[in-house]
Amino acid sequence: MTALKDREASKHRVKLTPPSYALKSRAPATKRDLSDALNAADQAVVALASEYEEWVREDLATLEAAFDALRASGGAHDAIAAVHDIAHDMSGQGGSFGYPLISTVGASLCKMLRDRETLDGRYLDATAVHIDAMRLIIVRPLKEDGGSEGAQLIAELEKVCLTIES
Amino acid sequence: MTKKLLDLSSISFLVVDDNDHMRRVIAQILRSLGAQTIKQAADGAEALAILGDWDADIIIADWLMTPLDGIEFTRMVRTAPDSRNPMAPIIMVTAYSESERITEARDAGITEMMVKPVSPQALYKRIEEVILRPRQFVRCDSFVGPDRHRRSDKNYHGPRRRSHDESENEPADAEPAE
Repeated sequence: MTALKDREASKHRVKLTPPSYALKSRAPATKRDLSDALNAADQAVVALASEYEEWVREDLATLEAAFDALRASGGAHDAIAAVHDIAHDMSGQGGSFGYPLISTVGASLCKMLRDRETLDGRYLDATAVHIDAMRLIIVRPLKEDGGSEGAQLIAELEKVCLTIES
Repeated sequence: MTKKLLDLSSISFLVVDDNDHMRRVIAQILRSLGAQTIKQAADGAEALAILGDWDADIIIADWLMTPLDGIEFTRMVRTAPDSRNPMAPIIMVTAYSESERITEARDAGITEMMVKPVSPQALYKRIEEVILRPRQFVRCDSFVGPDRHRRSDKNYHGPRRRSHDESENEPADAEPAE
């Protein structure tokens, strides 16, 4: 029994290293108010917003090209992943630059495509609807919540997703 | 008392993301918060090469990257025999938000996780957590990384429910069932 317990215990041998506070000693509090620093950081990100509007158009063009390839492939798995990964990146950026709707639509598209081996015609059409929505957001542009137009756009997209999953 | 900014001027950061716009945003936020040493890598493989001869105090890594994604990168930092600093804090910044993804990232050994879009507030909160409230480091067969519990309760005297803990009802010298 002792040998059995020893073997069982050895499977679960755990080494614990106490936490190091070295970084804490090297990063003392400054005299600067945190809220001021965060506001300044927010402004620095806002300053990048005009550049974002240029690079999101490039991302959209890349997404559209990937979608064309997806359609041409008839909804093949590798082509799905290509569209998913671009939408994933776009959804991770939009909200940082005053375009949260890009993040919302991108996340919706990624959720729809996730773990799909192939796409049939309905899913291809729904993907096209998501990309059209992104184009509208960028071209208008629909910043922040996009007002009533933004709300309507998201509501329509949700209907599309519900229909396709039913 | 108004909360004060931590002095990040001597803290070195490695930002790992295959999207150069996102690297730029994160680096800009870090500079605005006082960081002066920031290196960047476009994927996990490049990041490992940088870490081969430079120690980052804090690593900020994306998940979805090729050829080496953030999860595999984290595992390499934690477990590779030639890893210079396996206990380096790793903040994963990702557009994934599903609970199973969070579990997967924790089990790979990340220190903190942050869902994109990135905001200075959310990023600073993770950095502050890593600096002010570091956790013990765990090494066992199935896991290497910061303790997945944020706090341990030394005063806990209740039942021990881990699979390898002895049953409360089973005498220590009982023979195993056939």
